[in-house]
Amino acid sequence: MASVELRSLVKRFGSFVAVDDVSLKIDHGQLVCLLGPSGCGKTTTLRLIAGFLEPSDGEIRVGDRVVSSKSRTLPPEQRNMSMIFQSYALWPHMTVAENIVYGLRLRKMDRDSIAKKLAAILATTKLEPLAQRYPGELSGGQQQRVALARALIVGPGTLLLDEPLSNLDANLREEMRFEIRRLHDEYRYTTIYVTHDQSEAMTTADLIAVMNAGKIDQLGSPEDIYARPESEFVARFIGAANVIKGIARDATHVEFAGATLEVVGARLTAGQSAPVAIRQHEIQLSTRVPPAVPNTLKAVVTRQVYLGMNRDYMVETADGTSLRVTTPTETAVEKGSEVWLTLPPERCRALSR
Amino acid sequence: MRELGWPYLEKLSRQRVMQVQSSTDPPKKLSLGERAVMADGNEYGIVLLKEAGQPVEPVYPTEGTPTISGPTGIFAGAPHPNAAKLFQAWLHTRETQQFFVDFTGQYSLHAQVQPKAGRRKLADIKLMKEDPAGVEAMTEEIKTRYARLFRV
Amino acid sequence: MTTTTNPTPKPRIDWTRPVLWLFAAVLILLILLPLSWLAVYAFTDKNRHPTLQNFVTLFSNPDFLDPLLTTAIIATTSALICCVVAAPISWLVSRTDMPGRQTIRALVTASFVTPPFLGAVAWELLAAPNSGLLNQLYRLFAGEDADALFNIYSMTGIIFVISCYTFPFVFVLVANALDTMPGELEDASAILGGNAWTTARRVTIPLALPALVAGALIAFLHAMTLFGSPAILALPAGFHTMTTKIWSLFQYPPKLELAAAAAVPLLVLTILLLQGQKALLGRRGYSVIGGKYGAPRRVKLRGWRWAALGFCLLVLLNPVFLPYLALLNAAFSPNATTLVTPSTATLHNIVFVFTELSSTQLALKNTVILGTATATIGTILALVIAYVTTRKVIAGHRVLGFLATAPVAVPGIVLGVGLFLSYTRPPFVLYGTLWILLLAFLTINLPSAYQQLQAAFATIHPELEEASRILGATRLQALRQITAPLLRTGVIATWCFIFIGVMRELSAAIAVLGIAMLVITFAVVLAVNQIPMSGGNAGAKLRNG
Repeated sequence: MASVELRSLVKRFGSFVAVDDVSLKIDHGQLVCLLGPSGCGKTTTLRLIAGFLEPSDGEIRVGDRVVSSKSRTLPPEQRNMSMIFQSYALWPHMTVAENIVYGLRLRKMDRDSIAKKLAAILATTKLEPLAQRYPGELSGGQQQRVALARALIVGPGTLLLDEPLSNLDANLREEMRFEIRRLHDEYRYTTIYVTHDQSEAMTTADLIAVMNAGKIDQLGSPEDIYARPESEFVARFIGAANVIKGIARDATHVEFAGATLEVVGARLTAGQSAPVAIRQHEIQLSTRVPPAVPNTLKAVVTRQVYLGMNRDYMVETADGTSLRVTTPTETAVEKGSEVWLTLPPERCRALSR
Repeated sequence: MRELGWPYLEKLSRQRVMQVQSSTDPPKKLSLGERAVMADGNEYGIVLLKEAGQPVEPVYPTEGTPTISGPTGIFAGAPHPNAAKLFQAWLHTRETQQFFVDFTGQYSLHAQVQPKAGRRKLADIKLMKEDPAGVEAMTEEIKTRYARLFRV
Repeated sequence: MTTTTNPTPKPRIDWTRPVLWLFAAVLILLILLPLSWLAVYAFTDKNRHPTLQNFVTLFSNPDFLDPLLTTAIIATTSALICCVVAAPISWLVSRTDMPGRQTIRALVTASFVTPPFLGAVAWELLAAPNSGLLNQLYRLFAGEDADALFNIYSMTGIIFVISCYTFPFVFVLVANALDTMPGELEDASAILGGNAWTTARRVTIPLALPALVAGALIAFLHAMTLFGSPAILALPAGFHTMTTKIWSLFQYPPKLELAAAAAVPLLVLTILLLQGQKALLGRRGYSVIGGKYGAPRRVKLRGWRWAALGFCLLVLLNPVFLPYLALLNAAFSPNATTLVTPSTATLHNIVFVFTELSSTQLALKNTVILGTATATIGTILALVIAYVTTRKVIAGHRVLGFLATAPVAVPGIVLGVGLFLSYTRPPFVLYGTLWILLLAFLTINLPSAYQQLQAAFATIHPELEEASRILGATRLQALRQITAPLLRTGVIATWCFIFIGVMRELSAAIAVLGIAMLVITFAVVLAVNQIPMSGGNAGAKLRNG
């Protein structure tokens, strides 16, 4: 096991820059998620780490060894990694057992050890009854477990996962998230996990690197990313926050729609425009003027939907900004009514980008 | 076969004879330079080749030359027998026959038709007599033995 | 927005079922009639009394056993050669960074669309022992009296020419398999520690194997049932193949019972091989499973890139460059086996074919009529049957699907015999007319047309039609207004496929036809036979057309 480090990694396809100066250090035993919308460069980054692509610039180190650089790229088969592909990439002409032990055979392991390891991994992944089946005869979830077993059995230095759950249905996906985390806690491989699904990233990762347009936008623990977004992109992508555009009055106050909001987060410069993120369920909505609390402003309800567990409001502030607010079902206000919004200062996060 | 017997054909078959599919093929092989001598096939083909400037010459064996006649007729159940008769009458006029002779290099049995310029008269070639009935009776044997000999 | 309620469309008679049954009847007639007559003749004597005597003759008489053996040798060897040549080329084209990959693909296609008999004619010009251009060239160096370097009139020659025009079948299948094989399957092996060679051996080759086996099979069947090339090369070489033997049985006095019986082993062998292929692949899946796949990484050949291209071009010298050069030479030379020089170049041949050879005009006209009619009728027939089987509209749709693909298992010459037996007697006396050719080409082209259109149908969701029917369209209207426009590309492709197929096909035509019937391929054969040096004319004509 070893750490993996990306240093100023760049990958260009013609004039298109897929990976743009990405640096990232993954300590060994850590599970890092590359999270981002499609086309953000996360899969390209993963394929660079695997050695399927050669970097245009920068380098990749595993431990203290440079495995990829502009001048030299170690082929994938010499990197002691394994990978789970989005399609699982199970070989249709081999049985489940043959698929799983493929890596061990290449490592010239003796028969008895192979058999022992196979039995163990089949038990862990609950695949014993399916060992002699062909992949074409398995369900999606079973195929996914075979792919997992095939990748884990070789005891790789680094484990790479490329959207491993995206072909599963919703229930199974949720179950497998915890399964992957459980297996990671058991084996503790240095793991790089690519996904576009934030809740998948939240459940599995030690660290999340949110990627956008080829760059890492923010790196942090799941809690950091969710509770303390630094950029508008991260705030919107993770948990769909409202982002309001105000003007900074001083380091911690923003003028917005005729009110002054106290905010936390990035240090502001007076007079500059200041984006502020606040999540829809953290805004309080009331028909009466709240007793003297800070961060209160007036708005008009433009839409109201009853969702069973709560109500979903769309309101418009004096300057025409639309905000989404989620309230308990008891708070029922007609469309067109005037309401008061309270934005708790500790929930208003000023964004640096 | 009638004149020379099977032993002759057996000897011939040992000479790497090239068999072709149609009677129009041998002159073609000759023209391409694939073979120097042809037997059977259409001698008028050779005549036409010679007229086109190719270095070939028809040779008529002193033992006799096999003939192939080209008969014409009218079907018993022909839908327009009178038109067919009219056509036959036209076909066998001197002019039509002369045209065939001049154009294709074949011979006509029409008494007034002149052989093509430069061709030997039919009367000067020793012809072998056709024997359709005899051939018909032996057709199976001839075909089988010939096929075995020449492997066609 | 306002909505108005339009009156419900008037109930009309739904002609769907009668029309579909009519098509089903046509299909049954088309396929079952020839095969039934074939069976009747094979198992009866001249007076139609049941007998096995035809088969006893067939398997005891060396006149039939020899061609059977010859055919087996030719088909097996050709299939092997095709695999050995096509597999590396398809790998190079599909999986490596060899330069000129698209060009090589195009050139293989060129040999694919060359009618096999035309290739045979061209190779006669190149490698006939005395007059062949290559042998003439060889004698320039080796001396006037040297033995021929090549003899195309031999078993080797026939195998060579057949392989030249059969290997594209293998190429297409293997290249397609390699093209569609997901790159991730190879990547998965690489990341687990498999180097390039291990990955090729354990993953790529086994996955391409079914395509190679299928290709070998098709090559074998093609070589076994080919008529054109053996007809031109085998007779001068002094032997028969099964197809030329069957053809000779039609000559006076015709032995139809024996011809029918001789066709049976070809039919049985074809069916057995097609079944055997399924058994061979068994339970293993070879099709791709789930998910989206990245494009495969190309193998870097580095210094070998140009050597690889050289190899491909060297192979393609045989089916494409040399034959077409020979034909081109023949077209402009006064004599097909004399190399043309600027002073001897002549347009006489081309002028002759297009203006003087009386059969050309008629042949051209008939070919176009036949091609158009067959392609149109065939496409409509295949379209309806594909519709019936994918949408399961009438009972027995499975049987229809089976029938439509059945001719695949019927070699051209076998079908030819069946067609001859069927359409030379009441109620369908079509011998000597264009109609019999139409039926022959229709039957031969039906399976592939059906399969293409069935695949096209499968991509169109039934709900699109249902949406039209809920708004009041009958099934036929829905088919015409919704499905047909969506299928346009597939339909046009199928039409062209059949049209080209008709131009190319010869083997059934020869068996079915009196020599008087003129289709362009036929006119080519006639021209080759009748007029010296006009093989090149044919070549010129085909290239232009």
